Amino acid sequence: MDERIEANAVGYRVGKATLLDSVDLSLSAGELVAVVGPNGAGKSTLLRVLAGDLRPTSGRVTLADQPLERYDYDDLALQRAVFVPLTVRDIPFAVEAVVAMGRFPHQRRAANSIEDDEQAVASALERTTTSHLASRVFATLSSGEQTRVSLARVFAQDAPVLLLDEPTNALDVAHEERVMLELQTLVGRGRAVLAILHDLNAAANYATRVVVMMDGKIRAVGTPGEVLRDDLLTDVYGQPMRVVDHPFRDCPLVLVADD
Amino acid sequence: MTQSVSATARPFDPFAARRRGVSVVLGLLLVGAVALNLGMGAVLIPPEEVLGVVAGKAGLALGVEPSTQAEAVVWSIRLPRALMGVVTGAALALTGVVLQGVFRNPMADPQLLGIGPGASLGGVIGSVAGATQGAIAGGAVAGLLTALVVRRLGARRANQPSRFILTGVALSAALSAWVGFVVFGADRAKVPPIEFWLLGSLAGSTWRALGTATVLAGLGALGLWAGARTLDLMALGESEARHLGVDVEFATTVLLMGVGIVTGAAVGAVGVVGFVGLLVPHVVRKLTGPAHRPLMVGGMLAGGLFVVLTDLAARTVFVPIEIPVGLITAVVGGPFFLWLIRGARY
Repeated sequence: MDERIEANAVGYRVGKATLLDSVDLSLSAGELVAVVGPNGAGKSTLLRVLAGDLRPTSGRVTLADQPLERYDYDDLALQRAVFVPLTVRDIPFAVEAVVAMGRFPHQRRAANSIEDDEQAVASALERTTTSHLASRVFATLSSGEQTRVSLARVFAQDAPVLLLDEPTNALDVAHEERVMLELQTLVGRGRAVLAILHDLNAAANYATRVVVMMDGKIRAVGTPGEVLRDDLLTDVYGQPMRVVDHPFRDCPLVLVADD
Repeated sequence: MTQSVSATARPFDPFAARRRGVSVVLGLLLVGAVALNLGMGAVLIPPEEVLGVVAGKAGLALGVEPSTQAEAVVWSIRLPRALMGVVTGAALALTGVVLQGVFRNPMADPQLLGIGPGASLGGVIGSVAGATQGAIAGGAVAGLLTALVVRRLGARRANQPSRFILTGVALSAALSAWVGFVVFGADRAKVPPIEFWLLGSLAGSTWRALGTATVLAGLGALGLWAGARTLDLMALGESEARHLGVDVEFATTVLLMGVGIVTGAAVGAVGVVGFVGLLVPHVVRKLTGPAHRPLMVGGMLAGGLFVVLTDLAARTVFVPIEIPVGLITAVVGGPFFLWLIRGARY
């Protein structure tokens, strides 16, 4: 397999708290890895370590066979695109300008043309169904629309690796489905996608592999069918869970159960 | 795709169409304001005589023979003074644009962050050593140093705007007090009085001072101009900018250094002229939109215009007495600013 990211025994400690404890993980081209687990399991910390935002306190991460710390910010931006929950929502720029900023890493390369940028922006808007918002000011959009526009910016960046922290946050069911389908399409084109998801059924249906995290460790890794099991999920979430066969999709269906 | 993207208006920007118009109008107003400054004052000089002086200096004969007095007033006093207004107004407005972008905070300006008072202190000390030239150089050096101190004290991480502001407020108060100490302790004949440093004045503008201030402010401004696109990306948030390849820490340092030099050159030359850095970007943003390149161009033109016009008022309202230009900028700027931000969601 064509490996994009490889994490070896990665730990991240802040003071006495161990947020990540010797995590091993790989992400290959053509793979959609869903990271699931309860709040505080270390999912976002893991993503930020893989993105190069946080330096692991132990272990190492390689991106495209190179240690992560060897990259400059601008080289990194050509290798991976990142979506993290929005902290700034009052962005004064128009939607299309925001999405066009996703092209910034490419604009320093001689091979990049204005047509490339325009095409990438138009396509990203279309794939997130935000074309009709193009001239709206980002700050005036709803949370769900802001999420979709930010995803469009990530798509416009057109990197081989996508690291997405709750990319369906604040989306309605229809838009969540569209985003998951779009991720599936990207994976089909050889992109590597790692997404933190809270919707276990989105993970069940779309992920090629599911990583279950708990207390800073990886508790289980495998196909949705292997990993999404009653006992494991009940234990990890501390909530009775039932997994049945999906009535019409070829994947498990995860249900919240009563005691 | 419902929206067509034209090659000229890219990335999409609803303000693109009127941007050129805004620049042209502001530019014409600026030229007009400078011309007004050449004719008006304690001595009224008729337009044809002003034109005669300027044309004569440019080697053109217009058939108007200006008096020696008119020539002295227009060429040696009013023109360098008006141009100094253009340069310092442009400089201060530019620093406001940059600081408000760096901190994503509409309150930010060199004064609030302590860079203005730091430059004042450098200017006072410089003027003891080397009169006006010393003040400008000292202002630029001290502005740069203060900016580095603000950067260092303000935050380990760039994205802590409130910490920066609190640091600035404390620095501002302390440094302003030191300006007072040095002014009162120094030789009165050498150092401009305290009201110059607190309220600003363009009265001492000479061609030489104009040259020094322009070169120093221009150098800093070039650096800031180069950071315009980076500032656009920083509007997305610190993490997002970094994910797109911006070294946010480094960019913040460089931009603050540029602001320090530009502010310092302006403050060293004319003292602290308040409200320009705060007010002008807010006005221009409504005309040019949020993208920093057009905002910088519009801001510099509008800043120059604002200072040139307020200086005209400073010279003419109580003829023959001149009042500090900062009084006018505050009297006009305060209420105007309140009107401007009515209903804004800050």
